[in-house]
Amino acid sequence: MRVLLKIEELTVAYESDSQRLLAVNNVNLEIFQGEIFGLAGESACGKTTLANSILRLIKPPGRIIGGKVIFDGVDLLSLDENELQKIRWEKIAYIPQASMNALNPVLRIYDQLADVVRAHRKDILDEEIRKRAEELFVSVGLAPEVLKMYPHELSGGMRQRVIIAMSLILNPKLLIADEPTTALDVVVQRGIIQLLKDINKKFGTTILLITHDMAVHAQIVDRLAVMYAGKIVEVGPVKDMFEKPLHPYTQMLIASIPRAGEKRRLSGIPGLPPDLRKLPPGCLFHPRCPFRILGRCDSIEPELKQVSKDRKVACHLYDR
Amino acid sequence: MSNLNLLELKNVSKTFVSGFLFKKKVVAVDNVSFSIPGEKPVIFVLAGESGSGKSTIARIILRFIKPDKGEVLYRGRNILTFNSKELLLYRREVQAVFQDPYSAFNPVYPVDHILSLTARRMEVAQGKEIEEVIDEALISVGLRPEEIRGKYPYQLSGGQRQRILLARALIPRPRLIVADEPVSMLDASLRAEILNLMLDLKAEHRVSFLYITHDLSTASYVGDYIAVLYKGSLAEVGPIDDVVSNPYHPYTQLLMSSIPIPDPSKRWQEKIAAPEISVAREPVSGCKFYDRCPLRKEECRRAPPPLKKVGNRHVACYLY
Repeated sequence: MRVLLKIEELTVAYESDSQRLLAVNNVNLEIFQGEIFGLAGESACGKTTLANSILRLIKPPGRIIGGKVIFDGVDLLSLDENELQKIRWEKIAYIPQASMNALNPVLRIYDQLADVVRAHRKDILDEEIRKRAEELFVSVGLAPEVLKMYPHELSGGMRQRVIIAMSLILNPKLLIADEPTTALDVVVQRGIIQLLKDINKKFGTTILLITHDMAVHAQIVDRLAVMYAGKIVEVGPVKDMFEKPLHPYTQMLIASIPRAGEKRRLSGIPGLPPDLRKLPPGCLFHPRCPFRILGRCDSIEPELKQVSKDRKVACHLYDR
Repeated sequence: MSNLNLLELKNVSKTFVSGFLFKKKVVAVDNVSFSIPGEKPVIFVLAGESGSGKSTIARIILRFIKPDKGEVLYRGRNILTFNSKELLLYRREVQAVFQDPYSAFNPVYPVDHILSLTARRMEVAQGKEIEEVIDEALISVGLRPEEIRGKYPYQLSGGQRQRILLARALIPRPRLIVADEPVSMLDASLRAEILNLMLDLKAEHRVSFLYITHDLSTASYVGDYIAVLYKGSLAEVGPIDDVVSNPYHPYTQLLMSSIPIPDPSKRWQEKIAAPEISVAREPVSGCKFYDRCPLRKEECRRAPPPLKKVGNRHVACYLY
């Protein structure tokens, strides 16, 4: 498997005069070319900050304080703004959360799409843009007539399809989508999940899908990473992780999801994620962990370690 | 229909008119009838997509707005004819919890404020008794009063805040709590705890719930009965386990098959059609689901299908 994106020891901090919190804390990840990679975790665990830091979109008081983001062999954190501009949208497209509400209400869809293309390809002809847009719209399940419409004429699901089409217009290698199905009705959500799968197959686009919704991950991703308090706690093929989650947090997270038609008593996760300004010593999950080993989990931080051919976990239960 | 019903809606309709020169009419609730049985506490789910009219029904039941047509009977008496004294009694017995636990609190007061305010306004207790009532309510939602009292909203998590809002609703000792999307803003691990709390309150405090949600997985976990809304009209009403395992109405079938199953070994195999592409729809005089229904017939266009008894449930579809 060829690695398309490699994140090495990435750390992002939010800083004020008196304190500093680590939103992304020494993260290591590899995303393979052609796969759909899922990033899961609860609110404020750092998923979106991680996505933003890939394209260096972190704004003060946030700051990337260390690490590398290697895309196709190039460290994006070492590029200057001009070089990075060529990567954004052309090589890596990013759909931030709630993008479908960010379309310009006074411009027709086509004009917004053409703006994107012209910003990157100065010499392209209008006919070419139109042809490409029409083809792409059919691929994302929209009629070419939608190009002539205004955003307010479209439903939420259709606007999300427009956004997905816009992200693909320059044929990027990697698509990062942050909560693309959240706030959509279930039937529409199913259509978008199916569309992302189709794009991955048809165009070979690698997808990094970020969502808190474990059921969506179960339906679409090939491999999954679970984040907790700024750290990756477990990575592996999604089937194996649902079948046999290794990290106690992953286990409890999966046990807390209701399944339609099942009445088995759900267990939540007692306690709360740590305050990122004063992290506990040792494993960040140990205060809530039912399996913690005293004298170890509360003092030594577990590293994300390979436990089998394609699985990694950061937990002392798997120390040898 | 017997007077044993806790709450009964009879042919309730509500149309909103907006715009100044070009009046636009939106039929939010269209001839809706259902009843929540009163023999024993139940969790009655009102399910539907965004814009289906579920929150409008909640607001009608809570008497925030009046319906244009129809009656709402609470234990056999029309709530629209209540005088102020009867209304106070009604508001004690029918309480509410809403979606957003982050904006429900006044940030300048400690969280006790919202609790003591309810105790006083609802004339539940006076003087020192108020403190006892508050402690009791906090304990029944699994919070320790000494840890909560005096705290400000920003010091508490979303799950804790939603528990406090449930405690607030319990203070007047209600028979029915209208809960409008109470868990949709909470993380999975906290969501499970609030759902379990609803089940416990039903069993131990004998409180019924009208649980309004778009999320059918959580609905089927806690619910006893379900009413499925589509564009302001009921599609299907019945015992939730039967409706989930064997939906009758084609819309309910589509909804149930669109719930993502949190299991990578149970992925969707067949594809669903992309959404209808044309935006302008001809006004439908018959069934509202006509343009999306895979089983439509000519007669479905003529008149809206009435809600008919089919076995142990009610279905609005000409197939039955």
